[in-house]
Amino acid sequence: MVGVTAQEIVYRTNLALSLILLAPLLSFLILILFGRLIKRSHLIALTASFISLFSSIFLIFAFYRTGRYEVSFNWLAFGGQGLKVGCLIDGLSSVAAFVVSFLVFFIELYSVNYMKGETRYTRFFAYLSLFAFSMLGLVLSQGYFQMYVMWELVGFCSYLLIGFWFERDAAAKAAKKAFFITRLGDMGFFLALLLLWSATGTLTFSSLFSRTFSTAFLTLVTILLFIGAVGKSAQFPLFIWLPDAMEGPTPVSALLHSATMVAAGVILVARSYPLFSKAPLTLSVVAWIGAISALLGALLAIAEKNLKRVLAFSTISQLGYMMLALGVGGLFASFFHFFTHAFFKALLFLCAGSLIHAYHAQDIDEMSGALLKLPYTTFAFLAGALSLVGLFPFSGFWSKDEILISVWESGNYWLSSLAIFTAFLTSFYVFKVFFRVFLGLPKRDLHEMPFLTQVSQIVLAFIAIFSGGAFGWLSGMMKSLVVEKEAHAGFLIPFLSTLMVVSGCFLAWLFYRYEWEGGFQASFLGMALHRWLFIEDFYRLIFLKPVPYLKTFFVNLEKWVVDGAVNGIAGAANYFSYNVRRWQQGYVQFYLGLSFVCLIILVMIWWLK
Amino acid sequence: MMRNLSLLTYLWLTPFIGGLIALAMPDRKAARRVAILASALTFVESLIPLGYLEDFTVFTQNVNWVKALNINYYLRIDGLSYSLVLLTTFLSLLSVWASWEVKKREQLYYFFILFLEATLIGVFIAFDFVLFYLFWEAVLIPMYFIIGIWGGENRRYAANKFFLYTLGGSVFLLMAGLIGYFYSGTFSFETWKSFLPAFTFWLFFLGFAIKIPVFPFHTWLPDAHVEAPTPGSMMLAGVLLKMGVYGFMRFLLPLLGTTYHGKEVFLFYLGLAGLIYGGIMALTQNDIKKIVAYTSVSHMGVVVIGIASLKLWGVMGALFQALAHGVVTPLLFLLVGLIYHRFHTRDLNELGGIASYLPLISGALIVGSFASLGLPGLANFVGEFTAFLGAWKNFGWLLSIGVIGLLLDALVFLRLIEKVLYGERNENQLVIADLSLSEKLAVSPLILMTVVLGVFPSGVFNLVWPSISALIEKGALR
Repeated sequence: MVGVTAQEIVYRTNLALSLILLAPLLSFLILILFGRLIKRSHLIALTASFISLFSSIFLIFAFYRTGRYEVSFNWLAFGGQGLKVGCLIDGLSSVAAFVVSFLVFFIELYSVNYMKGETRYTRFFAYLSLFAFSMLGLVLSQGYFQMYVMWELVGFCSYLLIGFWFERDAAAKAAKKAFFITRLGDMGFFLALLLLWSATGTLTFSSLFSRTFSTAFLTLVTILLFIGAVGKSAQFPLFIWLPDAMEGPTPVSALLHSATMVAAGVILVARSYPLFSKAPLTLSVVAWIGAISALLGALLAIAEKNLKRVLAFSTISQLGYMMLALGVGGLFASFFHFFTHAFFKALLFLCAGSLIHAYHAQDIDEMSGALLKLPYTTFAFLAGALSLVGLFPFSGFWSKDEILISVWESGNYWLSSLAIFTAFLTSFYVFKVFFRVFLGLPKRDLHEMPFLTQVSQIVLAFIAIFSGGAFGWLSGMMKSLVVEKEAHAGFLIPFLSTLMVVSGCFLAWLFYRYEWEGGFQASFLGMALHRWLFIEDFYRLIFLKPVPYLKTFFVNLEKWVVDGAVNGIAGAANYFSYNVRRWQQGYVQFYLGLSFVCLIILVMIWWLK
Repeated sequence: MMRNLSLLTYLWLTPFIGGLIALAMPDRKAARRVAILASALTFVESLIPLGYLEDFTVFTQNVNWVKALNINYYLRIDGLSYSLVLLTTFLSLLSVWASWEVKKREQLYYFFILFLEATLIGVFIAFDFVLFYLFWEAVLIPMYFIIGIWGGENRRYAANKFFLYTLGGSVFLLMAGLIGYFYSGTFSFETWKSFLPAFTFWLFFLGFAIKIPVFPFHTWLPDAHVEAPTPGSMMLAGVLLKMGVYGFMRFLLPLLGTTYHGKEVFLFYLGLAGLIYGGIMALTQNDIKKIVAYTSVSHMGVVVIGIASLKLWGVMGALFQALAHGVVTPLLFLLVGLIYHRFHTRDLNELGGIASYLPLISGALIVGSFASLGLPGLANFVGEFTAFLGAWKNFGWLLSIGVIGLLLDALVFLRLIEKVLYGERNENQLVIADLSLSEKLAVSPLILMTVVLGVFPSGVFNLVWPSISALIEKGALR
């Protein structure tokens, strides 16, 4: 872009921004409206996501050249106030847009083979395109309004995609649960918007972040925003929807429910960091919720037997890490981990898809010996797994290290111990799965999936291995958003985390070697972990148990009180008129008698007066 | 200008005369054709003012009618009226089109539905109280017969309840109007000001609240909807409820700032209660038509909250929510009708698995449901969001209780979709056809409008907000 005028750059940036959003939107419209006429629907979706990917790379270069760039217009404006929509390009949004469009492209590529033969093949790509549009719109938004709109839309896509196989009861239920629980969190987001709007009359980031608010107000707003993030990012206590969301097709789990959509909560908090950083109370809430989620996710992953659900718990745990980092001021660490995690977790899910495809089962117990039969998948899974546990020099090591260091430097040793212990648990459950699935002898003949899926897996595997090297580049991109900190000292944290990885791996080996698994599952701890530490049972008791009683109450209230009053008035009128009518009987004697009685009464009244 | 002078008269006369012609038609098909033509013509006529957006006063028609009592034949439109007229003509055309299931006394049926359209248009364009009241009451007649003759099993009870209940409200409205006349000497209600005694609020309120319906005056609605034929439900939910909204805005809004000061809090509480109560009741039902009917109560709760805010954004949100509801709920009723037509049941527990073999109906139902639960990009969200933005300033944290209602609405429609569309296909069901061409023609304009209103709402806002602003400021000035 040397020798290009600034005006030209602006023009091209706007073009790229339109393309990055409109291409997937157009793909969605074409596929949903004319899907029946199209045979190779994946070509349209892939073309669109390739355009998005290309534009997102352009945007990164544009950011290098011009720095922060914002474009917006009024979506709705009257009476002197307006809601704006538009795009904001800075380090955070351009990198996030790149991650999203990159993953969309490669996961769509993977899906071409994975979803082959599905009756609703075209619709699958239509939904993915709609998701790509909404997710890109979310990360690129320049204000809370657009973010909220896109936030809801990705939730809708998630609903459609979890329920993609809606003939299965479990999928239908999971979709409902996911949408409702996240919407529960969204209401916090919604209230935060109302508060901000009534205080300032604007919802754009740039004008909100330049204002000063009282700490109490900020705490309130950020807590409400965080409630939205907790719902979307499946953090404690709203995490219960994510494991069930694994009912969706595996590419969906890879794209939405591990790498991008569930990280929207992290992006929301990161984006709102100018507000969060001035609300210390909220920050400690964020840190603690993050730490608890990290620990809880890792714990629940230990007892889980369904491969995809293990990965789902692991996602909860890793998102917890990101939240924890945000809570202790490690904005960069958190975003770095978002970056690496998106790739290696998507990779792990794709490998899980390959394994499920090979074994025709999701249960770990059904799998063994993949090492010999599925070499590509083994390589890719190992790359992802080692990244996830954070082994040097895989990408997860670098980002997790950043997080652990930020927590350590915050001086809160409770949080530090939790985070480091979680690293141990992570290593333990990951290797437990790995040994189980890949070692041993295969029970049946296994086959790798066709070429295109391998392309995605291998590309992502290399990124999972090497993306830790993006450290310098990312920190350059984020420079304007992050407050520079002192260079951290010592090798204590890397040493500790490596120790945790090794010991977790060792314990997993013991589990595998001496077959402790059965005994563990039978123990009370195993049972409790399997039932999610009774958390969902507790929710059922509190929220679902009283429903029948409430229902009876309200049905009767409507019938006997609200409508009863109406029918009662009508009935009373009827009764009254019936009795009055009886006086009109037509006997002259009666009328005469009545008149006479009345006359006497009147005379008496007059006389007494 | 003479050309335009009487457009508004034509506007309500066209469907009326079309109805009379339909009544006189010898056979059924001809009646249907005449009805479609008449409503299409009305729709086209109603588009004419779009060419005069700068100045609607060219359409004003004010002729002395009864000199002794100072009653005028006074027709006029402003942004508020016009938006509702457009909704009426649009929905009437679709309702007439979607009347394929009517199989008896069609001539009479089409007469009534066109008569209904004429009176509804009249309500929105009449600016003299007597004329307004005549139209207002006349609406009841065709609706009564549509429910009572072409309705379901329990139609007698529903029709009577609908008629008597809303007539009961109208009596109070008449009282209020007469008081207005005696205090001002004119029926031109725009001149009624703060000299009205404060208690007239209750008269107006009862008159309009039953129509909207505001909690707890809503119980006629589910009964009427369940028994009404599909086009009747579409008109009922789409336009009849908006008469009450219109009344609130036209009569109460200018006075809530002055004479009726403080009453808006009362309205707010009722709106809030309706928002939540409607959601709860919708959750307890198993009849899908009743579910949709109760969510109307919930949505009208949002409308009332928006009006009670007395803020421009709140009231505009309320109006937009009313219009959005006027598109989305008829869509839902239409789909419910189509489903009933195919499966002969409306029970949630007897339906299921439709999505796997009727993709078009299912897709449309998903769009309608998600629009109704407030998904961004579809119509209702805009109204809801704007109404809440406006109302927060007045009511603050109390409004946060309202999100319970939004959550309940979400639950209602998620349950509806899960039970009706998802799950295994019922093997006992024979092969059932998806949307036919004529059904597509009825469904797709509604879906299109749902999306257009949701994505490009600013046209409606620009059309309406000056008139709403005038109504609010009228109260603020005095």
